[in-house]
Amino acid sequence: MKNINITDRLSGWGKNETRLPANNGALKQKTLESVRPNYTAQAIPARRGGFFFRFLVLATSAACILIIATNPRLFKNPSYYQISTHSYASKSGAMESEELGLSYGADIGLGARNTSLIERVSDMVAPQTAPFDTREFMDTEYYATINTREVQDDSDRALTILRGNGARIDSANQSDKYARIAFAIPKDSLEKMKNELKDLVPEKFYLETAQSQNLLGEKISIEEQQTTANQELQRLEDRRQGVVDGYTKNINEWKTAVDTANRIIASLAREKTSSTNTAKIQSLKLQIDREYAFRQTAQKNLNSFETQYKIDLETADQAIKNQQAVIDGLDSRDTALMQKTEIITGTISLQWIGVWGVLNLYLPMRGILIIAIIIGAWFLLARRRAPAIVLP
Amino acid sequence: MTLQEELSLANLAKNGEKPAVSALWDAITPKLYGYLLNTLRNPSLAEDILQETWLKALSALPKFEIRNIRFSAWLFAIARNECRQHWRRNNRESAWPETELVDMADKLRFGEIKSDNIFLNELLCKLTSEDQDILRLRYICDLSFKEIARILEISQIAARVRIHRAISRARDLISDNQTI
Repeated sequence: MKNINITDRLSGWGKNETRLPANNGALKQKTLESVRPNYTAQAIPARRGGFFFRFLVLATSAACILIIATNPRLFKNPSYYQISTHSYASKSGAMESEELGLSYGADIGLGARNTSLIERVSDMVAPQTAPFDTREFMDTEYYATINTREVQDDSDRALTILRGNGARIDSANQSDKYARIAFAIPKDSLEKMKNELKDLVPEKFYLETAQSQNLLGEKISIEEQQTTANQELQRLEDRRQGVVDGYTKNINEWKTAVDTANRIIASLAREKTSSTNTAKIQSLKLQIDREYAFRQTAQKNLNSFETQYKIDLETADQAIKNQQAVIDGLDSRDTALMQKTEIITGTISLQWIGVWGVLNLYLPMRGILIIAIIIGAWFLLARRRAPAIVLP
Repeated sequence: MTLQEELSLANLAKNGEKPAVSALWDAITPKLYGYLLNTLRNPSLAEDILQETWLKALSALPKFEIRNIRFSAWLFAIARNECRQHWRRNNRESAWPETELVDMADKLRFGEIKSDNIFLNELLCKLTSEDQDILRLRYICDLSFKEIARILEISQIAARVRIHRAISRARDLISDNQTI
């Protein structure tokens, strides 16, 4: 009995328990009497609940698949999209993003594919500045995307808001489904303008991105160039002054020499006139001739020196003028940079949003998917649960 | 009786053919009465409910959908429901009166020699009413897991699990009582 097979014993028990009632015949007879021939089968209404439930589950699953299919970015990291490659790429000049990655990868010993976009961009935009210099010259670009069902009306309102805040409209494109406004606005008016724009639509319909870049590197570069240019200008001015001073000094010496020669000649001429001694007269004549020769040489040198002086002075003035132009150019660059930090450029994009898009905004799609999976699992389990027997 | 035979007989019974009903009676009643007697422990009451079950089944036969369930399983479901209604009317939850349970427990304790069937009957009454019911449906009514699941309104897996657990508990009881 130890090694009993319980199922066999229970099967035997079950068979032994089957029996007919004592008055089986009477009971059977009574039962058979109740049988009525030619039953009219009654129409049994179809169960609608099951069909509806299955339809609901199928519809939910189809909706989920549709959501995934129409939103390829659903499971990607949203923060990744906050980086606008376009704007940075445009800042970097002619370099495309792939070139950017290759060059960066070559610099650090990795392939372009191994270099993340963020690293590449940050490397490109981060200026090589002195770490202790904490000045900020922020160049800000502002982008707003507004989802709306009334694109025309809201774009008109956006234009009014921009103009009301002293913005300059650079371009405006409007259509039934899409509008784009490019503008430039003083830095001080940005916050007010943003708040007014946000009031146009509910919060979820408004997406803004602001990109700021410190132009300290550019500022330092301009400052260094200005210093060098000013030093060069000073050097040129000193050189010009040297030319002028040298001219003044030399010209006076030569003039003095000519004057002295003239005085000597006049004195010798007077002495020659008053003298009667032939030998002396002859001697004076020789002296006068030498003085004439000296004066002629001095005059010639004087003229030559003056000509050279004019050339040197003109050259110095031209160099100073050129250097001044360089300084003016640098000043213009500096002014432009400072204006850049004070003026914010941006775009506002308005796009038409459908009902599906509104649903996407308000409903957590991952949550819906999880619920759909739960419903699906429950549906599968429910299918395995046997339907209840309809008892009379 | 094979499933096909039962289906064809049920079809004929639906059309009011008495020989088919008679054949079904002969095939199903032993199990059905055995189930009722084992459940109610009262022959006259079991006969009453047997009669009531058949009458209800025959009157509702036009509504019976053959493709959904075997006729016999439907009949057992009706019988089970009738038992429950009877207990409800009499404010009783269990088929076994307390005095009978104590009496059987005493007999077990004193180790009176019985046949295996009586031994098992007395032993199984120590199980819960749910365990007893499911074992009756499985071994007296000879229903499949699917049919039991439909009668108890649970999944097939749940029905399997419940039967397995009831058998395990019965095995434990048998092992314990055989060591006395």
